[in-house]
Amino acid sequence: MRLAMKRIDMHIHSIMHYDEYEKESDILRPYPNTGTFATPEELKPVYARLGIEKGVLLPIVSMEGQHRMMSNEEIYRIVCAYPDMFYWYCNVDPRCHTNSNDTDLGYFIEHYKKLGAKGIGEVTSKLAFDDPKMRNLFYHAQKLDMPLLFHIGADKEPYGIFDELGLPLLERTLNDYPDLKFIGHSASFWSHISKDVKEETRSSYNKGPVVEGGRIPELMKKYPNLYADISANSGYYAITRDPDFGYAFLEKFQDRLFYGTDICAPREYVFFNMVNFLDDGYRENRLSKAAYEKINRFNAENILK
Amino acid sequence: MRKIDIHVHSRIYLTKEEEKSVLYRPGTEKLTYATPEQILEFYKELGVEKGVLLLSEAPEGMHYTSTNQEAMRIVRKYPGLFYWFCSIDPRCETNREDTDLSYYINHFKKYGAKGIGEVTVKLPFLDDRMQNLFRHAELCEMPLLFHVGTDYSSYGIYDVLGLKQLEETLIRFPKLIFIGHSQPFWAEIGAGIEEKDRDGYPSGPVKKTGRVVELMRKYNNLHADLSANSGYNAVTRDPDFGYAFLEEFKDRIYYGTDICSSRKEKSFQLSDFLYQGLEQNKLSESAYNKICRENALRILER
Repeated sequence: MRLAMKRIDMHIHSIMHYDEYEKESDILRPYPNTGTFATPEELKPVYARLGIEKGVLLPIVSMEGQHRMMSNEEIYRIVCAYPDMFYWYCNVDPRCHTNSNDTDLGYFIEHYKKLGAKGIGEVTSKLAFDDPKMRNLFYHAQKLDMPLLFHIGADKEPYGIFDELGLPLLERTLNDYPDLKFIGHSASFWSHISKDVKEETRSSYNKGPVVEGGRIPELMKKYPNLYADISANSGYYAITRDPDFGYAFLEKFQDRLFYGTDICAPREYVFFNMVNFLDDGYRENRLSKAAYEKINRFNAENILK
Repeated sequence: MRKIDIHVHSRIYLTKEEEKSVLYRPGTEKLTYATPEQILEFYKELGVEKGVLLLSEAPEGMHYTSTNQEAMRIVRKYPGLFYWFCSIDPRCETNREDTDLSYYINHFKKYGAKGIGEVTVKLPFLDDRMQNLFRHAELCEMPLLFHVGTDYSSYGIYDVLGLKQLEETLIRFPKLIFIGHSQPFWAEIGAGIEEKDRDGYPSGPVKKTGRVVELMRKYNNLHADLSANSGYNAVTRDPDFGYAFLEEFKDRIYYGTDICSSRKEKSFQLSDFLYQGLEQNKLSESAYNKICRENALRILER
């Protein structure tokens, strides 16, 4: 049984087809049973089941690691067709327009902000955090007060902003852009919840007890501009692999964590169980009412104002 | 005879709201890709029957994300106006040198794509992922239309002055039809250019032939489109040389516009240049017909 509060999903992707031909001719991922992104109609029953009222639609405009793109225009079209179901973030690849370190990315961000975009993401470009073009994106995002949701990628991963083991480049970035809300996500982000992460395990969904002293708790403690979404299997395993640690982590950083799904196809996912973990935590008094409500809804409402 | 345009870009708006909220290229003029209706007007003026809708999903240098899905939607809505090439970014899926790009190419081929391009990815020709794209394009028998980029260009497959990486690539993939385009490609129609000239439009007589001529003589798999100011400038800067060039490579050259907005471009005069060549017997009827139509139909109506 779900609790009464409706959740907001901080991390969702979707596509829309206008007829059967468009659906049939759309490209699927080449792996078995992975299909393509879910349509709003396919998401509706999942959202009902998970107790989600609205989601934040994230476009994909960098081709690295993708089987298909989702342009800002396509996402805006979906939001206009389903205004009660979605908020949206715009996406800006730092290599767009002049592909230089001083492109006026504010021009692009501001345009989509006027159309209702509430942030920027999911940033998946395979450039390093300290690449001057990436820093140019952070600069303009901060200037325009737009939160930025990002995916971290290791050397061997096809996409995501590159950082080394231990996330030193992210730390420098958090220092350099103190007024920009960075919303962390991905396996290479969440694997750093535990101190024992290694190069071989940083892109994985690690299980078992968390070793205290991980970089994510450290960075979140040190930098109030670091936020995180607990979407996907990466967020799910990070929070649930060691339940006591997970609940304490949620409690401690309750003002900067967002519930999210990252549904990327109309299928079942392990991370659907996140709602049970959150609901059980609340019922069993392992998670305070305040933390539960903020993570499921209020933090998102605040940032989406 | 009505021409085929080997190189055109377009976008459509599905709602009035979308049309109102369009993001233009930064700058004083409000420009973005032309709609099919705007292109149709240009085509009437230029004597073009159909164009090849090209797109690139690579983010480099773009103000708008075109997608294969949108291109298919446009072609489906305007089948009398467009053929299409699909976009394959070699960094897609696994972002590695062994991604099975044939999976993507064959999918879009099944839905009518006649080639790949415009490839604008800012990776060198010899990058392993780019070579992987060429390998799969050759395997799938899909011509590949490309834009060359320099250190200073915001987009385009990177090559050094002298197009040495392109040459190596032409040797490695002899059965792949490479359709060259862009300033750094056409700048090398004449010899003696410098790095600073590559992204521009070198003018004046071609005193000595350049690398493009040399490569086209040496490699039958190198084709070229005359679109944009780059193509127009290359063949008109020295008219006698230009007509001779067109005559020599008449089997591998395509008329094109590269219409990128609703603005009229200087390069639209290419139509007149070709027609005048025919009228003044500087261009044979056979060359004129091949360049304006027949060469394109050979790869589009296979």
